[in-house]
Order: sequence, then structure tokens, then C-alpha cells
Amino acid sequence: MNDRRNAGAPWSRRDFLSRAALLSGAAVGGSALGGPGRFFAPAIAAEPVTINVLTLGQGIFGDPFVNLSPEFTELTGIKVNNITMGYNESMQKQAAVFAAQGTDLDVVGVDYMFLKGYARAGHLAALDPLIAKDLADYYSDVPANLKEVWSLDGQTYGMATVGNCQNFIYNNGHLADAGLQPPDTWDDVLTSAQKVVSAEKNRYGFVAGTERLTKAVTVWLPMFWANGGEIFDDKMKPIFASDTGVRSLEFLLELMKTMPPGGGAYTESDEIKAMSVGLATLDPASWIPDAIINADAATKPNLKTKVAPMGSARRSPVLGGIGLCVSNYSPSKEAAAQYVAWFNSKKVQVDQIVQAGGQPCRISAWAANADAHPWFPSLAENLKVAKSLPQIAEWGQVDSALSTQLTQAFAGEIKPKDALEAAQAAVDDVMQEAGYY
Amino acid sequence: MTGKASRDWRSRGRALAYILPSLLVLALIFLYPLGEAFWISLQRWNLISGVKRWGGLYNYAAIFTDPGFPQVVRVTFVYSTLSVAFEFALGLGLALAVRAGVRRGLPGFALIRVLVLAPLLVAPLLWAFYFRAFYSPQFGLFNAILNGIGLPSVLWVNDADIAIYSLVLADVWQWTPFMFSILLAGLLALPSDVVEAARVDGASGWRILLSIELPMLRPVLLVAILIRTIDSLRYLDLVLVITQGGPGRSTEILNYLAYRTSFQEFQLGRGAALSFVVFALVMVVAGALLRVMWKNANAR
Amino acid sequence: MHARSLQNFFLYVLGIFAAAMAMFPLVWATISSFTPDNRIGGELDVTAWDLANYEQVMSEQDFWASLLHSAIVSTGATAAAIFLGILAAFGLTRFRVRFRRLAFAILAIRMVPGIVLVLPFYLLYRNVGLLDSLFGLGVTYLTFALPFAIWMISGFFESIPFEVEEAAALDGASNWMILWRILVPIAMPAILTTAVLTFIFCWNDFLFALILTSQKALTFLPLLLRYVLPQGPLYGQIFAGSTIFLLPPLIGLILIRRHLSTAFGLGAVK
Repeated sequence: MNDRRNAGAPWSRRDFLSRAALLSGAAVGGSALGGPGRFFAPAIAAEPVTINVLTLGQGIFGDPFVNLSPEFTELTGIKVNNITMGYNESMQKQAAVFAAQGTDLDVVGVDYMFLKGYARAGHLAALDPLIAKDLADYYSDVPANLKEVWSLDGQTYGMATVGNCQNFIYNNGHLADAGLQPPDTWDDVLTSAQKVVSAEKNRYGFVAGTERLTKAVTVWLPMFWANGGEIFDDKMKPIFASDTGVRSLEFLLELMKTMPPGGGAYTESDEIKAMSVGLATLDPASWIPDAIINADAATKPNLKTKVAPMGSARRSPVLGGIGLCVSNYSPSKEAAAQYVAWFNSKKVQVDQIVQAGGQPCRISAWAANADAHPWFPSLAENLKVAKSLPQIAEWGQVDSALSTQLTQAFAGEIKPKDALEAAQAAVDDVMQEAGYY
Repeated sequence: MTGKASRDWRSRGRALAYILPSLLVLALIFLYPLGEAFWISLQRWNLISGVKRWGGLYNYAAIFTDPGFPQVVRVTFVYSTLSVAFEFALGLGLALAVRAGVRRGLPGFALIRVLVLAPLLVAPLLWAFYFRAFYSPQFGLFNAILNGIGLPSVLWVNDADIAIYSLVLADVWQWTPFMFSILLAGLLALPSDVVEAARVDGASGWRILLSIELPMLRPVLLVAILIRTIDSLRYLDLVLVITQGGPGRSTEILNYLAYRTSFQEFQLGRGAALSFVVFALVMVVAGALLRVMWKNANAR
Repeated sequence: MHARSLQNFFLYVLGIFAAAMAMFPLVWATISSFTPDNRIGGELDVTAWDLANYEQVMSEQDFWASLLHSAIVSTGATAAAIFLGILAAFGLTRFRVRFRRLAFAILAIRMVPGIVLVLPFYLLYRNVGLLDSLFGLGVTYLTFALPFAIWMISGFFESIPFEVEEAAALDGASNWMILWRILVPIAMPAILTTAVLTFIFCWNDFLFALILTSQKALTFLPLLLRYVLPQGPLYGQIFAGSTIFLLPPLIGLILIRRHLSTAFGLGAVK
């Protein structure tokens, strides 16, 4: 294993570690002295370190890193190589690099679903020894669910950086036409969706992405969870084919009857477009605000957002988010950790990340940026109650088993009860095989 | 052919000398990864957790005992058979038409010959994105055109009954030019003396085509079908980008299942095993095609 | 003559229809690439044209580098595949010896789905230091380019009668000369077609490029796929990138089309 990658920085490992220790010591010292706005002392190292950062290239999980990395370099002298790609590709790439223990990635944008799996496998560096002070400051300012999600066994393995979860977008104009108030419970959502459907106005009620990959499951979960359902019990045995499960799936199928034609396999792009041109009215499981951003002139003033609908037990939009982690095989862990900490620092979160095209994770940052976009206030509210997907290494298999059955139920090929029971049996096999019980 | 034939027709050694460089290259770069892949297929390996355990034939057994497996194989066969059959028929028809046009000196056919190749220029992955846009039920181009001429919308890839045929359409649209270009090159390379002789004897165009040209073209025809069939069974861009195996499981082809198992479920062992099942399937099909090809060659 | 012009008419209808169908998706995508992204779809409002999508794609870091890398890797792999392929096809088909099993084995290599080889190649390259290198990527392309070239050229060689060579053999020509002075010129349109198709396969590869390169050898398709977000593709930018990406093969095709169409009918024994 050698540092071929860093051209022009032929340090021996011992040199490097000692200089890096100096650097992080200086950084911590600098922040303790606390210059206004300057979180890090300027770079002391004689030779520049370069870190490879893997993130998306576009959108809220890509733009901030591409846009703000130059400023980070200016402040710290650490050069940044932004390696960007699409979502699926980024997930595959990092999985491959981790499996091969590759040294070519330092900072990795990890989807929270995989965090505990990677951490347990030893692929991620614990951040507490590297940036203890930054973490303390960060934890004082993020909701509890984020802390839980990004750590394992008391150690922190990632920082949320860009917070996101499902938001509820609705078309106020359509609702008003039908004499309805914005619905607050799931039952209200259904009745509103049914009342709003109008053939002559070419208007439909509910809309959501129901495609097989990820969407099928995350469109059903909010309703299931909101009524008290759980996917696994304490022993990680699947229990979702319960009465609650079946009823919530039947509920979803009723909602889907108010969708535009083809709703059983609706892509997210179509979901966004349907809201943006006023074809549909209620989108309680929306992951991004593009419908509002791209809305046509007639529809835009009518699109509003609110907190997720209430079930019999709680509100539970699904939590999302791709955060920053440090690869355990990185030869520049300290520099990488600085990058992660900087993007989660108060100044960057409050003043810069939103302007650079992202979303914050800190509570103070959400409060400070409430006016930045009309959908922010409800998104911040939803983040506080968002529920995370099970962060197990087998989630890919679980999602696949579930979505295979769900999409068949959506297509009307099998009954909800049969779908969930078949899925539960399949997931049971998966968990058993993985050694949970 | 008298005496001093300096060409040693039957020397296996000399023939091998020409084949050897390719064999060496292929052996070097292929055998190790293939062996490693097979080794992976014998493991139970989750890429996220890194847990790797010996499984022996566990993965293969799990694949064949999965109740959904016959359906996947059936969908795969429907998809590939229909695609290749249409591509061959349309490609051959088009190649004959273009050749006739060029021969008759009809202006414009040289241009047509090039324009027809257009879909090949688009990367298969990107072609899949085109059709993903086209097939959108409310916002796609195809339904816009249908509605524009007064016909109702079609749920191209949102209806479980017809989704697979929509994918076949996209496949045929892209790969017919591939068949066309191979078949046309073959037709143009046929020696003209035999054809001339037959024409002088008064045989009609169709007769010449059927009894003389097509038989001579047989190696090229079969190579084209063979290559295209093999590629079709390995091709997954359309399913990956447009339907991901849905709606339901109606477009889940075997190769997509392998991809999904490796790269989305992150189960490398089982994914590799599925890929080997695809490999075996392709070999069986190709073997059958080749047997037909070689039997006919022997009969000549 | 009446029958003839009816046939001609029919040929034209067929030809024009085929050309139109072939061009249609491309043309539509190209037109769409000039509209703002959120208007991709059935509506084609041609009053608002702008180059925003192109500007955005072309200002991606590594844009030009990735195009260059694609060109280098594809050309190199194709040249190697064609050269080796011609030799192997000669050995396989022109010696009156049957190499059935060998030929099948060569073809079998191409039957392996790419996804099965990708991770082993990744592990192998990591160990020998070929990750993120153009040479390494080109070598992986040979796994499908070389069997393809061998089989295609073999198929064409096979349909050339042996008599063609006999005259030269009588004159004392060596195997090598027969191959390069006689067979190759006869099969040139076919060889060029094979070269073009091989190049296109390499040019359009995505999976190997994605996993085996990241920056120094980044090719174009992984770069373009940055525009596929978790919520779906940004069609405008993808169409723009797609149009840009098909220009080099298109130009290449136009440049060699003269060579593609000459030499037809040269199958005659002189």
C-alpha cells in the first residue's frame, strides 16, 4: 500500500502522521482562541495535502461540495479533488472501494442507510479522536435522531451535513376549489384526494413515486409507521405483515386509485412533473422541492408545503440524507476530518450551505434560513420527527424483497395481505441467513 | 492446382500461429478475473458489512429453488427471442432494399444507408434514457403524439402486460441498424461471378437471392444472429434505466436480476452466481445456434 | 419498365421510412436539449431555445479530458482488436482445419456478462496498480472487443471462396502476403464495418469505466451520469451530453464512408 496518488508529496508515513498531528492540534488550538469567523488556523504544513472527496455532482447533495470546496482550500491549504457522479454510481463506487480497502478516497458521501453497516465492517474512521471539539459543538445543535443515525456504539462515524427528509407538497388551489382545507391526518389525505379528482378538469388527487427501486417501500412506510407499525422487532425479526401493515397497504392502494393513470409504477420524475403542472394535488412523500421550483406560472402560487400527515400514532416522514464520512483507509484522515467538520461548522451551515445549493442539518441553521425557500419551514419541522430506515447492511436485500411484492400489489397482481406475507417470509430468510437469529 | 503449392493448407501448426497472439491476450486478461468471479460466486458475501463466508453451491441452489426463477427465465426468453427475430427480419429486409437501391443508382440511397445507422451512434445507456422520456404516461412524447392524432394514451411501461413489449420495441429500434450493417457488408462482399452466371442463364432476381446469395451468406447471417443473441441476453440498460424489473416482475430479465443482486442488494456472492447462470444460459443458446450453423455447413 | 418504377417507388418508401425512424429519437433528443430542462416531454415549445444545457455540461470539470480519454481508449482497443482479430480469423478459417472448439471458446468469452468481471478486475487492478489508467481500461475492453472482431472477420473470411487465394499461392505467395495483399483488401468493407462497430462498443461502455476509473482516466459516460440524481435524470443535460457524445463517432463514420462503399463487387476473381 503506498501513496502513489499524492504526486509531489513523498512523505514517509511517520513524517505525515506527525505533521498531521501538529496540524490538528493547531486547528483545535486556533478554535479555542476563537477568531471571529476563522475556525481554523491557516495551514502550517509546508507541503500541500490533497484529499479525494466523493459526492454527488448535482442537486442538494452535490452542489454545496462542488461550490464550497475552493473556499475550504483557501482557508486551510488542503487541496480538494471533487470526485462526483450520479447517485447509484456513487453508492456502487464507494462499496467497491471499501471492499478493496482502497486508499483513493478520503471523504465519502455516504447515504445514512449504509452508515452502521460500513462502520461495523471497519470501513469508516471514528471521528471523535480526530475532531472532538467540532463534534461537541455540532451535537449541541442537531436533533437527537441525527446523532443516533450517524453513530455506532457511542462513536461518531459521520456528520449529517445536508439534512433531508420527506416533505408534504400540496396544491392549495385545487383543494380550495373542492372546498377543502389542507389535510392533517392520513385519513384526511385520502378523503381530500378522492374529492379532488375531476375528469373534466384533468385533475387527480394523490401522487407519489411508486417505482420499484426504493420508492415503493418509502411511499408505503410513512403510512405504516404513522399508525404505529414497525418493520422489525427487538430481535430484528420482521413483523410488518401485521394488521397495521396490511391495513396501511390497503390504504395506500386506495390512495393510488386517485393517481394519474399508470400510478402503479410511477417514476419520481413524473411525480414531480405532475405536481408542477397541476395534474395532481397531494404529494405527502416528496423528497425534493423541484415540483415547486419548476412549476409553471399557473401552478406555482398554489403549491404549498406542510408537516407530514398524522396517523393514529405519530407523524413519520422517512428520513433521508447523504452525510460526510472519513474512509478508514485514507492516508490523510486528519485533513479529511477537517473537511467534514468544516462543512458542519456553524458558520458554514448558517451562512453558506444554503446559498451554495444545499440544505443544512443544524437546528440553528434551519432557523436562520427559514426564509430562504418557502418549503424550508415545513422541512425543518419534518426533520424533527423523521424516522430513519433500518440501518442494516442487509437493507438492500430487505428493500428488494419488499419492493418486489409491493410493486406486484400495486399492479393488482396480488392482494396486499399475500404481498406482505410473502415479503415477510423473504425478509425472514434474509435476516436468518445474515445471522441475526 | 499443380505441384508446388507453397501454401500448406492443412498445417494446424501454422494456423495456430496466427491464432496464438489473440489467445494469449484473452487468456491473460480473462482467465484470472473469471476464476476470481467464480470463486466469489461460491462465497456468501455482503459488500456493505464485509462479511464473507464460504457457501459452496449454496448460492446456486438458492437461485434455482427461488419460486420466481422460472418467471424470470421466461421473461428473458420472450425479450431476447422477440428482439433478435425482429432485428434480423427488419435488418435483412432493409439491407436488401438498400443494396437494390444502390445498385439501381437511385439517388439518395447512399445517404439513406448512412442515416439508418443513426441509433448505433447513441450509447445504449443513453438510448434507454431517451425511451424513459418517451414512455412517460402523461408527459412522454409517444403519448403526446398519440393524443395529438386522437388516439388514447398507452401505458407503455406502466402496464405489467405490455411493459416487456415496449422494451422490445426500444431494443429493436436501436439494434436493427446493427444487423443491417453486418448483413449489408456481407451482401456486398459476395462474389459477383456466380451471380452473373445465373443472371445470364435467365434466373430472376428473387430466385438468385433465395438459391444463391442467401446460402452463400449463411456464415454472415449466423454470426450476426449469434452475436446479437448473445448481446441481447447480456443487455440490461433498458431494464435498468426504464423499469427496474417492474411493473411487478414483468420486465425482470435474468441479467438485470444479477446486476441488482450485486450492485443494489450488495450481495456479491449470489450476484456472481446469477451472472454465471446467465453465462451458462448464453452458452447453451449459442451452442444450439452454432450446432445448426455447423450442421448446415457440413451438408454443403 | 412499369414494374421497375413501381419497385423503385416501393424501395424509396421503405428506405425513407427506415431512415426517418432511425433519425427520429436522435433528432427529437437534440431538439429537446435546446430547451430548458423542465420542459422535456411531449410539449415542444420551439420558441424558447437556449444553450443552457450545453453550457452546463461543457463547464463540468474534466469535460474535455473525459472526451479525450474516451477517444484514446476506444481507438487503442479497437486497433488492437482488429489487428489481432484479422490474424486470428485468418488462422481459424483459411486453413481448411476445423477449430470448432477453439472458436467457441473465444466466443464464450464474450458471453460473460460484464457485471461478473467488473469487481474481479477492480481487485486485480488495485493489486497491480492499473486502477484509473487508460491502459488498464483499454485492456478490459479487449475482453469483448477481441472475440467480437475475431468472430465477425471470421464470418466474412468464411464467405470468400478459397479459389481466390489459389492463384496467388501458385505464384509462390506466402501466407502472410495472401492475408494482407489479397484477403484483407477483399474484405475491407467488412473489416471497416467491424472496426466501426468495435469502436462504438468501446466508446459507449459505461460499467467498466465507472468502476475502474475515477479521475485520471475518467471517460465521458460516467461524467454525464452525474446528471442522474436520486430523484431521476435531468433530461436536458443528458440529452445535451448525448448529442455531444455522438458527434465523434458520427464524424468518424462520415470520414470513412467512402471506404465503406468502395470495393463492393470486388469479390470477383480477376
